[in-house]
Amino acid sequence: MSLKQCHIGLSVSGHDPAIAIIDEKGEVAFAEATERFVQQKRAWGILPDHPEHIRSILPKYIDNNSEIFIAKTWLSSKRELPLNVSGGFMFEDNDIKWLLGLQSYSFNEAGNNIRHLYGDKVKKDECFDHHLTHAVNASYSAPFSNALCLVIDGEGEVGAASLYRLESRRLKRIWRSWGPGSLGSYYGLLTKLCGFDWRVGEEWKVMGLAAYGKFDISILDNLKKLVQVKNGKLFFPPSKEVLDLLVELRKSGREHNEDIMKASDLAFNGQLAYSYFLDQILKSIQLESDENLILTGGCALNSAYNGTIIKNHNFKNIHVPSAPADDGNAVGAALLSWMKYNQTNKIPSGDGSPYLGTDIRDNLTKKKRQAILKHHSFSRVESCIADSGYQVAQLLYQGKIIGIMRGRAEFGPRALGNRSILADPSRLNCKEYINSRVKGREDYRPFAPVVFEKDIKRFFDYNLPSPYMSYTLPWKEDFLKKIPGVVHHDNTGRLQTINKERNPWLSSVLNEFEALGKLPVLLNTSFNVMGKPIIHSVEDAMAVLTTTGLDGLLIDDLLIVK
Amino acid sequence: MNNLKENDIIEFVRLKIVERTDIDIDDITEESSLEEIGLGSLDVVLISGEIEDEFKVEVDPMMMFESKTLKEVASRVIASK
Repeated sequence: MSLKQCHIGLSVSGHDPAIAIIDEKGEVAFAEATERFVQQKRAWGILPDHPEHIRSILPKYIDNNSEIFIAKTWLSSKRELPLNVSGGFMFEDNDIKWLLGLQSYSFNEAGNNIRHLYGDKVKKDECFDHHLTHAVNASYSAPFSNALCLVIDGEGEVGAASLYRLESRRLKRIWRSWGPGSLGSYYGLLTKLCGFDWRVGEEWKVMGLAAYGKFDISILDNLKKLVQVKNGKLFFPPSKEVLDLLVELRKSGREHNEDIMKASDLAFNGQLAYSYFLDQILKSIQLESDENLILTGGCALNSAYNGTIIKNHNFKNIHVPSAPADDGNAVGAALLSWMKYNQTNKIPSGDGSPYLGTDIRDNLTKKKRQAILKHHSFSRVESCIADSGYQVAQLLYQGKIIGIMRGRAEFGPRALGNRSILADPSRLNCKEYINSRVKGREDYRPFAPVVFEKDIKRFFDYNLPSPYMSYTLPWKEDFLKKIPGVVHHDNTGRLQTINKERNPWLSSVLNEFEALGKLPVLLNTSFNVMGKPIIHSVEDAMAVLTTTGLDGLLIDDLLIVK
Repeated sequence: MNNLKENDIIEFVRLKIVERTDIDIDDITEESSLEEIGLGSLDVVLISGEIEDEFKVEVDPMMMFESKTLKEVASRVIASK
């Protein structure tokens, strides 16, 4: 497995650090967010080449003959620019100083731990344009070679939006937005006004809460004034105007300790305004009706909006990568390093697999396996090599909630079956039970369904494959009452679509589940508890099992049932 | 060719400065000091973006902050082509 040429991408934004490895063939050998290893959400201020994390990864890929090339996801430290051009009026100066400080630290220091470990094996240390790393990462996993590629995030080198054209797998920038206008900052502000914390990524909560709100023209009008879109580019109004708008908008918001539903109208109209801004950008960039669209950057995690693109725009195909936010840039930077070394501007084509992280088989040592088998106090612990899919389906059928830790971890924020909690969504109270007894989170928050790709049209109004849970779509009316566990308050679901080739094990569970007379739909939520990242080690999984209402756990082929 | 382009850039930047300040265009020359003109940092950034779009070049975000005069801005834009 050792590589002669090892291109290591390091995401150096100061938040969401990640490490990625590209092999000699230009394929992703490994990619993982640092938050998984350190078990701190978003891993603020932690270097992407965390000393212990790299020691758990790199020896597998690097030997005495290896040459290492380090690639970073920014061209420069943002600290050199004046405060008001980064993040602008949407954050307090104090927040901006903090963000710039962390970016500067990570940008300057990342790579030192790899150099400390491998010395002169490190041949080069290069920096790449932030939005270009987003675009290359997304293009790598895109199932087509020609597309418009739109990057929308909190901020890039000079602004928060860039448009590229991918032609025969070569990217060319068409334009980029300059200045503080930013949809990422807009959504951060909305998160704050709704009484949530953007620092720990609670934008999800705004999206979930939006389903409970109602249309309010005065809130919407005020929100629409916060961002101006001109020819696809983003601008904020003068700061005095923003301050006046905030006074009005705060009346619809909530403080952290107030009733969550108090902010539901703000969340609903905030999501509407966000859609209004992005619709304007998409309308301005699409010149031909049969274009493919690659959407990436942190804003591409807004699955509620993404699901509306197919209805409101004329794109032929849409691709959102599994890790569109700054963790994914580690892949983009490493690919750019590989491309530079190989003197090509053609982006390699990946197989689209999101299963790029740590393999649990490396963590579940023989010793740990023996210890679990010997010292456990559970009702059932057994090795089920041949039929774990069948066994899990049986438990789900019985109404059990099962944690899954199999194979390689997903790269990106979604659990896609390898670090997931699964349940039967047809059970009436399963949503409330998992929210309160397993995840410890607010009861209004939705859960995602897993369906076969061939069944999308059966269950949903639009036929849009969603292998990475990138889109939220409306359920067909017939199913709303049949699977309440995965139907959100607005009758939508953020679906994961699977097929036998890409997801053989999860497909076997769904097949067995259907064979038991159930609808082929599973509830899939990330294997974590509120406030923590998705589990990383066997010990993390066992801790969730023993401290929550989870009924069982599959680690590799080891089935543990309470 | 370079001279002509330099003049085009200087003229473009003069117009953009006038749009954002109360300064009379005749008071802005190629030797005018960007610092003395008193542009806000946000204006400097937005003008940088407009230069990038107008002349189809890749502008360094620090270019306008590091340049002392309009002439220097033009030279750096030409160099980046």
